[in-house]
Amino acid sequence: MWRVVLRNHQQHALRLALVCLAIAVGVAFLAATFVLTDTDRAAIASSADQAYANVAVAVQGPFSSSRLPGLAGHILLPEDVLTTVRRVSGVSQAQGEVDGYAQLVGSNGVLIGGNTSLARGISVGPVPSLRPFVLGAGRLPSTSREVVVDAQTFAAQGWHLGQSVRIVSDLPIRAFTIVGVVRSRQTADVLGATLLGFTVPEAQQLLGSEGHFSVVLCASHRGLPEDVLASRVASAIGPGYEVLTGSSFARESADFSSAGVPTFSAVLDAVFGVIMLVGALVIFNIISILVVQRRRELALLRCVGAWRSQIYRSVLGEMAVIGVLASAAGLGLGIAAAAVLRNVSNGSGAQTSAAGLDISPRTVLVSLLVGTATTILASLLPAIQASRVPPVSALRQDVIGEVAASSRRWRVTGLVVGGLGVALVAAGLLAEQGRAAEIWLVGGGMALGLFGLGRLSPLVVPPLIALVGWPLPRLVGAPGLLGRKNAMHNPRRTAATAGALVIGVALVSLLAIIASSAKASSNSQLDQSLSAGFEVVHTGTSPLTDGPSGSQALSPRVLQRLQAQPGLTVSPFEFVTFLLDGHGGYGAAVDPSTISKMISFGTLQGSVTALSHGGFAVSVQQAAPLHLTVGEHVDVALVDELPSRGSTEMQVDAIYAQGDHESGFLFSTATVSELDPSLALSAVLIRAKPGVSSREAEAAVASATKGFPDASVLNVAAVRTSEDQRIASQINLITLLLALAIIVAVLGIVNTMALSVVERTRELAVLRAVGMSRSQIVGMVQGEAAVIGAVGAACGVVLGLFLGWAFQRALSSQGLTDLMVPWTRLVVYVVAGAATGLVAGSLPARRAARVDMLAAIASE
Amino acid sequence: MAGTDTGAPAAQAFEATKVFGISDTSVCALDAVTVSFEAGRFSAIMGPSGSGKSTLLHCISGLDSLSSGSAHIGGIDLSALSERELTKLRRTKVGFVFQGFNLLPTLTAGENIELPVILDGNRPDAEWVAHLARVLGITDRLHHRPAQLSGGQQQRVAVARALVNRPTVVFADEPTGNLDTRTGVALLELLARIVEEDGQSVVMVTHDPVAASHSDRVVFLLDGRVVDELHDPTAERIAHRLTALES
Repeated sequence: MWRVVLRNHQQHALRLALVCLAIAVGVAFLAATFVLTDTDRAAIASSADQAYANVAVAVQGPFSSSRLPGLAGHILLPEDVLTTVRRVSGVSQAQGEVDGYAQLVGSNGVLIGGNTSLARGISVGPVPSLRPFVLGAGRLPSTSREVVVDAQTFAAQGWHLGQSVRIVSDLPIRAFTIVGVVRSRQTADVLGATLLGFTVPEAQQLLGSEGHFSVVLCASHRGLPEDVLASRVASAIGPGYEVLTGSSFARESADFSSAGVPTFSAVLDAVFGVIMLVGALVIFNIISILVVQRRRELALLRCVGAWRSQIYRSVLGEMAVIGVLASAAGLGLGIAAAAVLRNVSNGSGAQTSAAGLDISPRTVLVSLLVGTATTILASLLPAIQASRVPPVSALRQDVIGEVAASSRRWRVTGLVVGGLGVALVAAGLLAEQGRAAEIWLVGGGMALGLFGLGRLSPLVVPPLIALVGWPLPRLVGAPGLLGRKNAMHNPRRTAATAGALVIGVALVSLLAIIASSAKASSNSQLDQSLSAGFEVVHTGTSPLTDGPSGSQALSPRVLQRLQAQPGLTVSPFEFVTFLLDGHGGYGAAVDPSTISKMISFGTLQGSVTALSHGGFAVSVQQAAPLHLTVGEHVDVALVDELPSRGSTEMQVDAIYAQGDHESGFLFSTATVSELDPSLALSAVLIRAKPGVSSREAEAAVASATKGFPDASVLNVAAVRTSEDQRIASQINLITLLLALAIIVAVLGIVNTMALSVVERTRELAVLRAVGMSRSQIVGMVQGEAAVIGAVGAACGVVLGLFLGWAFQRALSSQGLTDLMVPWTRLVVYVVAGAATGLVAGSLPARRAARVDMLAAIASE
Repeated sequence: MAGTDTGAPAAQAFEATKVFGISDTSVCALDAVTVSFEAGRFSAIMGPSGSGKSTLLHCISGLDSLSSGSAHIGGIDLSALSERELTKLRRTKVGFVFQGFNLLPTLTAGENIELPVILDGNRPDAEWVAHLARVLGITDRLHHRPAQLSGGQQQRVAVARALVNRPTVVFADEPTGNLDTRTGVALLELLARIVEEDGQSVVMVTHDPVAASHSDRVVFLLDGRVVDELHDPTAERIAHRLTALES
């Protein structure tokens, strides 16, 4: 049996190559994602491990509620903590480290390293083994105007020792001299960041922490376990601090840096799922056709005594071999793609590491397993079909490709299964939480829906083809008519072929709808809610409307200098993360007297301006699910990681109508800074005072922020553009990824057409014999392919419209308030679908035109 | 040449030679065959397997090309025609009936019959189609798919398709090969009747003496040459000649 299986491979080499491609594309995608994420994580983790290899115990302040990325997220430690720690028995050496934002400014005034969140300034303490780096060249800083730079940045900038550089921090730009180059113990970069080392007092001044440390690190006497020392240190310094062992400190440090590694794994998972689903459909289709074509051969095997199970196993065995081969090819392709992508991103100066690609056994195993399993699953049904070929088929001249009329049972099961699928998709889309579960629901629902559609296709497809293919006979005459009829002839096959395209196009249309809806929504929200003329944020921060994630702190001096400008009304804005009656949320600390000049709050119950000490305002959207009413008292706890800080009772002062979820809760700055002194300035909102022209205001803002290149000034129009650009670029990226799925689907059409041409050789020969010209044959085959493509794309767009509508309804409370359908784009998709069908049909059509007429007469 | 001569022959071959393969391995399927099939008559080509009878049919019908010599249909030299002109000729001047009925499964019987006319971009002559259906006894089957028809009915649809363009000549390749004896005889009687009543020309390849006995004239081929012919044959005389040829 096995020999028969292997022989089959050689005979259908091209066909199988296409099957392989369908699977390999998906597996390559999966493998590349795995490898890239693992590599980035591993690089950072190993560099953090090295950096803090000699640290036995680390002491930090509690986690700040402003939740800024980087180690600066902790409240600072007073210097006397160091003295206490030094006295603990078992501590051999200890030193305080100051860590914060500091970035180099290039000669053109532009920040070096772009807007990365990984620009760090750090103090160079007296104990070498506790520093996260070693000296590579030159010497350490000894005066306040000297600095050391990490070797990677130093080399990339082509600097020399003694070079003068300008550095921005919480203070305006200052000049420093490079006296040395530092490197981590193995690689040129340190913690994947651009690192600047200062003397301890200078670091404390620059990073705004005079008399304080970010962290106190200590080494132990030999043989003393880390956790023993940690508990000794903890009892010596008392509560209110976070004491970590060296290894957990290294892990936390790596996690912070990893936060900079871009991951949108849910989206990647979904895209991967779609590609695999499309691939599976294509495989299912190809194998089904192959089984029909090999019907005689299979029946002959049955005649000479093969068991049904042998036939079944031979088909599955064949597919398993192909699945493994294709998955292996996909794995190789994925690793190659990861290597290429990594080189590209390294070249563009993103964070890099000398470490090679991290190919974990999991990557290899999961890729091979998923690819093979998908292939086998997709061929289960065709294998059963193959095993059911009756032996007499070998003797009888069956009318090949004749389709049995659909039975009632088929229709009923189709309706039930399809309905279940639609219900699952709806449930998945409407579920609020648990991304992984949602994706499985939607994915599973889609698969079921497709299965149902497959069963219903004899009912659904012919009228669709008749409708979409209506212009064909009018355009190309008789061949068009025939092409349309051929597409209707085997509705199940047409449905399966078009099905792959339906999924791809549906998702792309869904994205287009979400993109335009998001744009429309954000525009209308900006129009309604933001009346500030300008907004100052850290350069490394996305626009205000993005919420606290990715937000970086501005220097408080920027606020002071802006407030000193006579022509401006200025309002500070600080993101706050908190727990309200146990529910996590985030909002902002604002200045009640000025904020309503910047943001319009719509209908009010109570007043934001009169925000009391110890009270807060909440938007209607946020208030409703929590059943908050004005005057009510609730427990609010600013998020910090120490249980010692309890919650505070606060009163609901106002409920306002406008406001998206980022500013759904407003506290007064006075209230919050009392609870959390480390509150960081996220943004400054600015408006020109009456009588001040916008140009004058712009000049005033510019002069106030001069010397702070990390302070980025946005005006509202710029906010809107950057918001639009952000959405557009994300959507474009995902669309590009989904294009892979569409390519697989188009390959499926090529394949189906090629196979039907082979299957219909005799029919084509008859047509040629009764006088069909070659060009008419080409027209017929391409017409069929175009109809399939157009039907697939049209169904996809309709499905996408439905999904888009469902998404918008589900997300309307989260800011997707407006539904906007990009009609032109959708029409383009349908036309493009027909066009890809035409292209996909061109090769098989040429082959069909070359069919030997004598084949029609040759009696087998 | 005896028999009633009615002007230009329906199909002719002059010195028709067909060689398959090259040099050493070449096989001469037709060896300078010169033969003429009169218009308005029912001719049969017979011969043992490998005698070249199918090749002759393919070449004089324009499905295949000759190595040398020429083939003519209604006085037109096929070798002078381009691929396009040949296609056009097949569409308008030639009808085919195959052993496997070779109807298109996607089209109804009626659509199958009208196909050559539609391909030409013309409207089918409804009266003529109705007439053919009546003569062939398939009037009530025109809206059925081929899969819903019996073998005999399918072959009668194929005959109607061959006749729909009022071709100069109809070529039939073992038309009764896939039919049982009774259905086969009925079909041959129909073909003979069409020749007699409508003056249609039919050229049929067969190995069955009974089938050939319905024709007006039988041409015998052996090893790529015309070796004999019979006029107004009977099955016994044909069988006798065949046995003589094969011995």
